[in-house]
Amino acid sequence: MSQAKINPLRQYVRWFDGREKLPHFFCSGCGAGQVLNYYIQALDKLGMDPNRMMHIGGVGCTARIPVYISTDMMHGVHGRTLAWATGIKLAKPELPVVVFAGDGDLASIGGNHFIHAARRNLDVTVVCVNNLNFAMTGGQVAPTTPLKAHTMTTPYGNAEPRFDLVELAIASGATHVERWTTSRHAQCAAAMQRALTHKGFSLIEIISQCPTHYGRYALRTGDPVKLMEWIDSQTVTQKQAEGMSAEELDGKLVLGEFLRVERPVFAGTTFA
Amino acid sequence: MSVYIDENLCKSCKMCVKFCPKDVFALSGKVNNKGYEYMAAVREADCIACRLCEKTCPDLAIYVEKD
Repeated sequence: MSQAKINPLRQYVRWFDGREKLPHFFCSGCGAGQVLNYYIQALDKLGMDPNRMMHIGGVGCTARIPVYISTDMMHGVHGRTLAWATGIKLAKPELPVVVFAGDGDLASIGGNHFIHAARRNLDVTVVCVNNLNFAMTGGQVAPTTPLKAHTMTTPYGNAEPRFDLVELAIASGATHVERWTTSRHAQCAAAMQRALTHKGFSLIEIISQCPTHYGRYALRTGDPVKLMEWIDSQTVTQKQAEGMSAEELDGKLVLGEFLRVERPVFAGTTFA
Repeated sequence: MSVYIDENLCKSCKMCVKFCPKDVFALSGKVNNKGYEYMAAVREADCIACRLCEKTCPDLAIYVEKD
């Protein structure tokens, strides 16, 4: 090995105070870091300039992703990412707006903003990193935590059935809905490319590992690789799900591109 | 092939070990400035430049160059 070379995709990483904002604050093996990598790959493939885009993060681990991208970003109030995105999109309709929100941000605290932004078909891309719990605050139970899973606030197992964000988005009126896992890097990057070029409300839900909290409480392991293998065992693609009965599919998440249609987008009092 | 690892970004999550089809990576035995024992491309000659490590690294620490 002669002179050390760095990944050319790091040209998209923010510089602050005269130095690169890496290493990021995500834990070792966190899926949010991988989503950052996939998102930068998608930007690079499309040739989009993040300096001519708007990224919004709420509160949570996922919301830190735009902090590491060289872009204009807002670190919003917990759950209100889509409320901010609505205002920005109405003021500057030509500006591409990308929202990074965790499952707690999007499904629990920002649940109402989510369904109404989807109903209006606001022209934004929502990347939801679903790590199955509230990770930043210490691993509490979230609406997306699987049934019977142990978390910090459910030591005897979660009694509530989980929220299916994909079904919710389709029912609310979103026009592009996909779900993948962090272990499928090519599909994640391709899904983000489709979402960035789609006109309308796009939801990309990425099931992610949280080795620090969900892994330790629910699966008794802090190894991100084991956690990723567990997620792979709990998910099936649409093609695999076709031949499976309802009992076999119980508790499993289906991956794939569920919906991509065109519908008039929300532009205030006029339609574009 | 040349595999470059930015040792100060590596957090030793071993995603590269999981994804590498040729088993190129192993722990280096040395510690970086954040206290992680970073990875090293110990079998660099086996690398086929599939770039799975580069594309799935959560810390953007790896770069693979095809000769």
